[in-house]
Order: sequence, then C-alpha cells, then structure tokens
Amino acid sequence: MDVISQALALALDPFVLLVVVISAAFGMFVGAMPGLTATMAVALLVPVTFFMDPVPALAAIVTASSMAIFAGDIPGALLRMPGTPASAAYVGETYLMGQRGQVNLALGTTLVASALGGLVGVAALILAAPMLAEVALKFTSFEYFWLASLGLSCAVFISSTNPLKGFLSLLVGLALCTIGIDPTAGVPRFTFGNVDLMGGISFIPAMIGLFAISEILRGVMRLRSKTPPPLAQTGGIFTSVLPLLGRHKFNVLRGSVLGTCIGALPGAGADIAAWIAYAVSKRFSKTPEKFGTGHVEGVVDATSANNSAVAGSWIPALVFGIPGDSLTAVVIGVLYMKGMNPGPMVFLNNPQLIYAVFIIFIIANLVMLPLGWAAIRLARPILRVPKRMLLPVILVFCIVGAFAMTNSVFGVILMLALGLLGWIFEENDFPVAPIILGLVLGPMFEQTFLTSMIKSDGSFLAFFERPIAGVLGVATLLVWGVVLFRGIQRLLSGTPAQPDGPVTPANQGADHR
Amino acid sequence: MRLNDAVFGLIFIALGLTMILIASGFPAFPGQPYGAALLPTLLGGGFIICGGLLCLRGWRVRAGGMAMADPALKEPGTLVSMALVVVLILAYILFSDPVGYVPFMAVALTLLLLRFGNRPLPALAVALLTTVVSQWFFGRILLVPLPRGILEGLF
Repeated sequence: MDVISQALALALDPFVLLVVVISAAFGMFVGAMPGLTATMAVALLVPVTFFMDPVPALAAIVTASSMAIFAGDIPGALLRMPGTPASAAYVGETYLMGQRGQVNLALGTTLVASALGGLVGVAALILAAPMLAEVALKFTSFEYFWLASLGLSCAVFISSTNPLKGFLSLLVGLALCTIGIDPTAGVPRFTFGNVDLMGGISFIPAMIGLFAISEILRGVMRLRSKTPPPLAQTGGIFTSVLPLLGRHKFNVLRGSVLGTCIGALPGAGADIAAWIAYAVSKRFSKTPEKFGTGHVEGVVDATSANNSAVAGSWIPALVFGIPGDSLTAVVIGVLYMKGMNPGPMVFLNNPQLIYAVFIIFIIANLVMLPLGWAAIRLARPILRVPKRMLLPVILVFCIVGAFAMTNSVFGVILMLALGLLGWIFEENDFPVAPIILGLVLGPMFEQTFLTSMIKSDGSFLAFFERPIAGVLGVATLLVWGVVLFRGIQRLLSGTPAQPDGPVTPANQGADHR
Repeated sequence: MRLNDAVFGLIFIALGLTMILIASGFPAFPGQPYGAALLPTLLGGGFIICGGLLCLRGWRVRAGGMAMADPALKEPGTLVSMALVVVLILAYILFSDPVGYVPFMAVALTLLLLRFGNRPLPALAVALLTTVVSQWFFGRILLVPLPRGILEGLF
C-alpha cells in the first residue's frame, strides 16, 4: 500500500532512527532518576522537538515517554524508590525480590513485560484509532463539546484524591487560556495592554514551569536527604525471564489489555493503570497471600499495564484531540504546533504521518529491550549521579528551552511564574496535571460551546438532540452527579475533609508522573 | 509550605471576583447572547463557589493552624538554596540581555553548584560544559537567538 510505504520511509529515515535512539537513552536516564518524572523528560524534550519535522518530533516524545515509564522500575527494585509514579504500585515487590538476590530477574521481567505490554497497546492503537476516526468524522461541535467536557471531568474527578482541589486546578488552567485574543470574537482578554500576553500563555514554557521547575524546587528541598545504597546486582537479566513470563503469560495479556483500556479513558494514565492492574492481579490470583512478599505475579500485570497505557492514551489524543493525561496533553500541544491538528481529519489528510507514528511506537518498544538491558547494567553508576549536580544542569536546560519557545525572556517569565504556582499547588495537594489539561482543552471547550450555541440559536436542548452528543452529555452529567452527590453526602454527615476517590493508593502522586 | 485551605479559598474568591469584574467590560458578540465574557464569567463563578467550599473546609480544620512549613523548609540552608533557584531565573530575565548567555550562565551556574555543596573544580567544569553544550545546541544547531551581551562580535 502506498500510505504504508510512505509511512515506512518517514519512520525508517536515518535521522528519525537517530532521534529514537537518543531520546530513548534520555528517557531511560530521566525515568531512572528518582524524582524526575516521565512528564519532566518530555517537558525538557519538547523545546528541541519544536525545531524538528512532525515525525521525528513525535518519535522523540513517544520513545522518551515509553522508556521513562519502564526505567522507573529500575530504582524501584534497587532503592525502593519509584523512578516515576507509574512504578509506585509495585516497588515493594521488586525491592523484596532484589533483597533475595533476584534484582536482575525482577528487572529483566519488568523489561520484557513492559515491552510486550507496550506492543499490545500499540496493536490496540493501530486497530482502534482508524475505526474510531471513521465514527468521529460525523462529529459536530456538539459532540466535541461533550467530549471535551467529559475528558476534563474525568481527568479531575477520577484521577485526583481531592476532587475539589482538582477542579480548582482545572479552573486555573482554563482561566489561563482565556488570556489573550478570544477565539470567536477577537477581543483581547486579560492582557492588560501587554503585547506578549496578547499571544496567550504559550503552552511549552508553562509546561516546563509546571513539571520541571516545580520538580527542581522540590528536589532542592530534599537535597540533604541521603539516598540508601542500591542493592547489589547478580545474575543475568534475560536468563530465566522467558520461562517465568511463560508461566505468567495470561498476566501479561490481562495487564496489557487492562492498561490499554485505562490509558484510553480520558483522565487516567499509566500510574492509575498500574495500580488497578496490580489490584486486579491480587484479586484473581490463586495465591493472593504471596502478594507483598516479593511475588512476581502482580509485578507482571502492573508493569505490562503501565506501558500499554502509554499507547492506549494516544487513542483519544489522536482521534479526538482529547488528552487522557499530562503526557498526551503535551503531545496534542506539539501536534497543534506542527499544524497536524489532532482529530479524525488527520487520518484522511495525513495518514502517512499517523502510520509513521504507529511504526515508531513499535520500534520504540523493540528498542526498549537492548537499551533497557544496558540501563539495568549501568544502573548503579546512573543512580550515583548526584542530585546536587543534576538539578542545576536541568535548570539551565529549562531556561534555554523556555527562552527558545518565544525567543525572548517572556517564555522564561512564564516558566518561572508557573513553576512557583506548580510548586505551591503540589505542596498543598492541588494536582498540577489538570492545569495543563485545561490549558490544552480550553480553546476547544470554549469554541465548540460558542459555535454550538450560534448553531442552535441559544437553545441548550440542542446539546442533547444528536444521539452521540446525547449519550456523551448524559455521561458527563452522570460523572458530575456522582461527585456532587458524594460531596453533599459528606457535607451532611459532617466528616472533615478527607482524601476520597478510589480507595487504592493510586492517588498518591497520581497527578505528577 | 502548607497553608490552610481557607487561605486558598479567599485567594480564589478574590480571583473570581476580579475576573467577573474585568469580563463585564468585554464587548458583546453582535447578535449573540453569549460572547467573549461568557467563559471568564463562568470560570469566575466557579472560582467563587469552589473557593467558598475550600474556606468552609479550612474553617473546620482551623485548629491545625493557618500555615505549616515542611520540615525540610525549616532548615535555613534549604530555604536559601530554593530561593537561589528563583533568583537565578529572575537574574536571567533581567540581566541575560546585557551580559550575554554564555558569561551569565557560566558564572550563575558555578555559584549555584557551589552553593549546593559541590567541590569547586567539578562545579566549574560542569558549569562550563553545560553552558558550552547548551549554547552550541540551542544557539548553533537550533538557531535560537541567545543573547550575546558582552561577547557581541567575538563568535
């Protein structure tokens, strides 16, 4: 097929492959450093991808995020510290395995299961995305309005320990995107006569601030705390992994399918996928009593789930332009900058680009095996890189990256402002991810609402008249109804404000991966 | 630093009121009941309602105090280090243009690295390497117009 060969030519370009290898190594490093998250890896990469063609730019993001999610397992097993929150579900198990001298077996298992999970997620992406795009072609502003609302509501209420604070973060994100020229009437809003603000809040400096500067500040706070010495590594990485996974092949499949589905839901990402897969694995295990004692079964489920969720979360992002988590919010921002507005039209106008992205996803998950092997081998020296040296260097790249986006210090000012905001918010349990979701989805949310209102001549009922719009609308209202009902229930029973939401510890760190 | 929820509640209420006030001055969309002011007004309302709920929640736990510092923040050294990160970014905003990217970063980064407890020689080496690599990558390869400052015309 012509499109496929074009896509192959785009994806197998030597420059793209070079980008894949470099960003894979970079993602491995950032993911393996405790405290540096996958989103931070992507935040630091995006200013560089800004200067690339769409395919290498997306290749860099796909590869770095997949690698960082796997590499988060490495310090989990060696130090009992998750490298990224997506690995937090099973650090206890892998560390205990490590204490029994099975570090390399544990890491080899998570590596192979991660790659397999990633491939299952990609397969789902390749199958589901074009089919959904067919349906999405019939969507009008009514459907998109509800999709944006449903995505935003789920992101706030499902993934956050504290729906009220999550909702406030979302409001902050939406409020930030009202700064600048209004999309329908062209009125400048909240610009205070400032020319830089007329262009709106640029998304990348904002994201670098929220996800990197606030992490640096937090890192500096903990600069004095000592990290424990990593466990000694013994044994081969790939030896006896295959028989082990052979015994647990059903877990790989279950974890991957679950992870893909959870990733594809707007609002839930790799970290929640890992927690739920781990819980499901324990629930249906023949030996649930072994969980928590260094048992590999739940690890297999959870580690396949978090990597398959990375691919799964691209489904709504590519088809509808609705991000599922902070990572895909970045992806959507990058797609817009590249003039590849996400949505079903991309599948018609630029199918070769979409297929190239699919191919890169497959390559990234295959490259993960050798590079992951190297990262595990090099884990001890990597973990010895001192934070007191790393954090200032990261700071420099944040400043240059933010500067490069606006070619002026305005980007740096934005980065600093949002970095401080992000730090204060996280210190006070306000999740940060909804800000970025609001910032990305805000224009779509406002535009589809106003367009729909003009079309319906001011009637709200029109929002429920089309079948899909009606279903999505009812779903959104249901999410809100449940949250409000629980809130009122709590208010009446008089219990003081306690973290609620799903009972899994998923909520710990669910918002900054 | 943890503040009582009521503090945030009040800030959000003030923010919401300001947004509604400013938005009321936006021109209407001709022939349409909804225009540029709609979203800011709705968001302002959202801030006021949620801010109010947050105040209520904060009031209930007021016995816990209005502010609580993270134990790490109580060490004066940590606070200074954190402030220095912010000061470095502020200084970049103010002085990078007259001073130039390379000299500014080389000096600022060395100072920050020393402050964080690195030994002088490694600090200097890492600072110079980072500055040169970032200048080369962003300035030369990606053609970002990093300020040259006092080195204008040298390279």
